[in-house]
Amino acid sequence: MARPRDDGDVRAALAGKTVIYEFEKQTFFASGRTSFDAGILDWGHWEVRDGQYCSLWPPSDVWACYDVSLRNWAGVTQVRFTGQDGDESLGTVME
Amino acid sequence: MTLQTGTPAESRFTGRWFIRRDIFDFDSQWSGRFQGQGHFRPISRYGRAYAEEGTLQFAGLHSVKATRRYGYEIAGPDRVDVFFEDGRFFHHFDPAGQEAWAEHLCDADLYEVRYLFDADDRWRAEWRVEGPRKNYRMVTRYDRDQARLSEPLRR
Repeated sequence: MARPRDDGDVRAALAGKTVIYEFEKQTFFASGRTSFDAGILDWGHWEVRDGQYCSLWPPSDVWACYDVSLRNWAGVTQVRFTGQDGDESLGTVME
Repeated sequence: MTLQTGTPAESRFTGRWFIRRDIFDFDSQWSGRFQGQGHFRPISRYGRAYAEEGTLQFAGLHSVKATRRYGYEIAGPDRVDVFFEDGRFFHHFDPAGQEAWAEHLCDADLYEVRYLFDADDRWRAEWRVEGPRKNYRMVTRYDRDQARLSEPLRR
């Protein structure tokens, strides 16, 4: 998977997109809001810092940041988020 | 900017559910119960691949593993289309209210369903199937797998 080169690339990869995980989906609004739907809808905030994707999910006031890598295969874009502890999540990007 | 929130149907037909299905065949007087899990996997914003697996036991018989697969398409806030695994249309219903009805004719057998959406994390489907070859009632209860919700999957 290729890592986006800078903040603008990360933002362009996610803004206005919905990522489908195994059973859940998350939408990244260009406004900086993000929603996570696992049957119950959660709302958070996202932004890009130093080439990393960062998110905040109230009531927590702690931002968590992840490396983002992308892979386009047969017209399908996959995204991988990797946290500081090496925890990963893989999803498919929908327009 | 107006945020596009998911409709109640988008949320309901997402994630994992515990299933209990009671079946009663009027002709043979046999009763059976299926217990297992089902999950709606998003394949697009409005498309879901539904799969369930569990065990089915009829009274007095050994239990057997059973699976089902359907396709769901959330066509709008008041319409969900259900497809068989091979892509054929099955039926559609209105998920907006607390109750919905639908039917499907398979040759001469009529499948009628009443959906009851009791709560965000609970719903059920009551089927009555009647025809020259079939005569049974089947009630499926869906309870959301709450444990899955607590897992920190979001990014």
